[in-house]
Amino acid sequence: MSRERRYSLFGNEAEEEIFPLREVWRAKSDTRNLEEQIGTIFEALRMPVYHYLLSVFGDPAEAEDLTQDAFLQLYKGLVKGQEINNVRFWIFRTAHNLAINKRKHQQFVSALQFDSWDEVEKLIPDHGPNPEQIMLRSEQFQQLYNGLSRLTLSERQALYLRSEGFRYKEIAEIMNIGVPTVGEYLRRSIRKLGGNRGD
Amino acid sequence: MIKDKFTKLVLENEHPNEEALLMLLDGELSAREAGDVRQHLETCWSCRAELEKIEETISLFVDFKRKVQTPLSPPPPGNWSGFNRLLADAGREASLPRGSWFNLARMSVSQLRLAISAVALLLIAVIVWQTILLPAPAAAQLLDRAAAAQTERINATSQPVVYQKLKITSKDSAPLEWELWNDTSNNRVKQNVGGADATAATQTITELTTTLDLNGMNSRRPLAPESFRAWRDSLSDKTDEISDGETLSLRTVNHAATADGRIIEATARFRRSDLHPLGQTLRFISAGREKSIEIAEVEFDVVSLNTLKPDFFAQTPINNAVAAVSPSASPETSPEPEKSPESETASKNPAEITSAPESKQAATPELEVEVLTLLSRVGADLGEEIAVRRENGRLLVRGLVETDARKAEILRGLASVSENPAVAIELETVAEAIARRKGQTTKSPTKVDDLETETLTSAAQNDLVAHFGNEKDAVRFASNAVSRSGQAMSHVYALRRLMNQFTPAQLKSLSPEARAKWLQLVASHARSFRSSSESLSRDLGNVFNPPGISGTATIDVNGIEDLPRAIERLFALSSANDRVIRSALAVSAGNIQFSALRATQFWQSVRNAEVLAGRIAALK
Repeated sequence: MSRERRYSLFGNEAEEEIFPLREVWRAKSDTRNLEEQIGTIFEALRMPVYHYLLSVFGDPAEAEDLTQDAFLQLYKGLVKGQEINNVRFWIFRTAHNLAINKRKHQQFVSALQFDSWDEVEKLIPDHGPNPEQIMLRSEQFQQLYNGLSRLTLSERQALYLRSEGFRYKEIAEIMNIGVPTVGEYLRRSIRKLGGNRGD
Repeated sequence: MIKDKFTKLVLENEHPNEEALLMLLDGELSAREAGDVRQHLETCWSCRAELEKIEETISLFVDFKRKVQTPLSPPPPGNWSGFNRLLADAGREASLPRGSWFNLARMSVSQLRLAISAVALLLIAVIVWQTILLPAPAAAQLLDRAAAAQTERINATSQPVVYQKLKITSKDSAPLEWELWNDTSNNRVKQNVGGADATAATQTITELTTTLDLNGMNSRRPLAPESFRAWRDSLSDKTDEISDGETLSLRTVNHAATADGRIIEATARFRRSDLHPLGQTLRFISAGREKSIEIAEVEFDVVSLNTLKPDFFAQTPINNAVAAVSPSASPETSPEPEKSPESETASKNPAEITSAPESKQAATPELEVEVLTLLSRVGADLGEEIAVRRENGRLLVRGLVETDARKAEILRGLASVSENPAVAIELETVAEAIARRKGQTTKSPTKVDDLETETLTSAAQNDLVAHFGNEKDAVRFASNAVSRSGQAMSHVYALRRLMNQFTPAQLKSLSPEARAKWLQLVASHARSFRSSSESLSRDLGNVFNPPGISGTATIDVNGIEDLPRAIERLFALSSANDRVIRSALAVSAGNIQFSALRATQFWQSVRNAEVLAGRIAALK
């Protein structure tokens, strides 16, 4: 049966990034069937994918659906005997494409599901050794929060993909743009987050 | 293309542009380009400042994402519940024959008849195969269906509160009754334990809930199919056996269990008609030997929250799994603190031996020390945002924790003081905080993901790679060192918090016993800091060849009155060291900080901090 076929799930690059996942995978790859293996990968990667989609596109229900869809595509691909070298990259690219296809035009999306910074601030656990530092951090966070709301869709995509550890080349492939453009998006994102109005 | 643009910029305008700096940090420049930029950075202050600004923004963003955005984001609304079905559907689709052998139109009647009976036979075979021969998918299916059935039943009531009376039987103790009220829409639980011997009953329940939690089961709803499923799903090597008698029972054996507390075998029994869970038998390892506990349902009911008194759950200040176990209390008992002899009786419960003397109703500094000690035991004084403070004569333990499991653990740790009227515990998970704010409920805690990977190149990478021979080990070493440095720091933060908890006058007036406890806490954090710092500096020393220096403490620590200064000094030293380690190993700064980990100054500071921590730890 096709599921008996050998397939490689992680490229070298991804292996370095998610070695705990690789360990799970290797330890159990002989005894588990494909569905269960997909289940393992799903458990390990679903939250990063979900958070990516949520941060960029802003709709929790849709983010959940699309995440599940992407893993389903992975399963179907593997059943068909497709070779997938870097699962993490593959999943993000698929989820990204599903999202893009679903929504052709993009509206403003708040980085967090809250109306204003004041609301967010109330919920942030205090991180820092003393009140002054907490306050400073809070101010910095607020500036960042405001910066995030000024990012364009493409800038958000590039930024959050980069924060998931993807290289410029991979981001370019996921977003279907050139590598220099990725650099430019990231530069603008960082500039806006750093408190500049952008250019 | 980038290279041309970049080279031109460096050559013509002297300064690399912002994009080139970002690419340097991201490791996206070629070796030559990176070399050129680094060389420029050595000479150019303004570019270095620019680079630092970019780095700060990146680290601020990473921090924001991890601490604010991710935990405060709404969890997936469907709690991933649809995925298994989607996967199963896709699996069936994939295994359907795709060829054209089955063509109805071309078949004769006899062929058709044959085909139909073949299909029927196949169906029967599949059913037999699923239920008997291959119980693994059947087991998962059984649990899924039982879970779905129960969810449906519970959700038929608005604002459902699930009541269960369970009978717990184990060989070591007399049977006891455990009543649980789960307010599913507000995530609260109330419980009541009854048995001939209250002490033994509490012990049995504590052991049971600890075992359930440890194995990924749900200690608030021990019989829930989801709870069994969560445990079963976590097993790597297991066999299932379904037997179909008066009840349907699923026996799952965990072949991988060896550690203490692990369940080695569990059997769940379901009513045949509606798959309602009736009971469970758990076999687990406790203190090296096998133990068995049986949970049987005596009563099950779903009632609406409106039918209960408004303060029904108020008695247990917050949803605590075990902390509220109070063998003598009935659910209708008023939450008023009692001054009657009853409270004396209650305090004879061995679980309360460690708590403050019962005569003290108000929040005394002694009680505060006790609470701090308890928190310390469950590691809840290391930067988790749990604050302990006195308010209106009561001691308020308030905090936000990441997961339900963590919350339950902390509440268990506080069990011995939770009944004390002078203590108010208000712990919330992030998910609950969000739910409260939105006036909604969440089905599951926000799972904080720690798979985040950072691929920032480290400044000390060249040295590290040279030492380890490959980049992978070097990166692992670097990230490990950064996180250990952070851990060491968390003990210093804890020391500061302990110091700020009391005024010097309060410390002086503490009872000798409480003062000793407080000092023990201080000493234990100082020791922990010292040993983590020493082990880290040993490992760093292997790579960076430190100068042979011994540390000196410029501050004497002879009494409690010396502690504030000593702790502040330790804080200054260790946070400076932590900064050096982080900037050298975590985020690239070209080769600016490159030599910092070899610098005599850094190592002197590390040694001084270790010596000072040693003195603090030695204070009696």
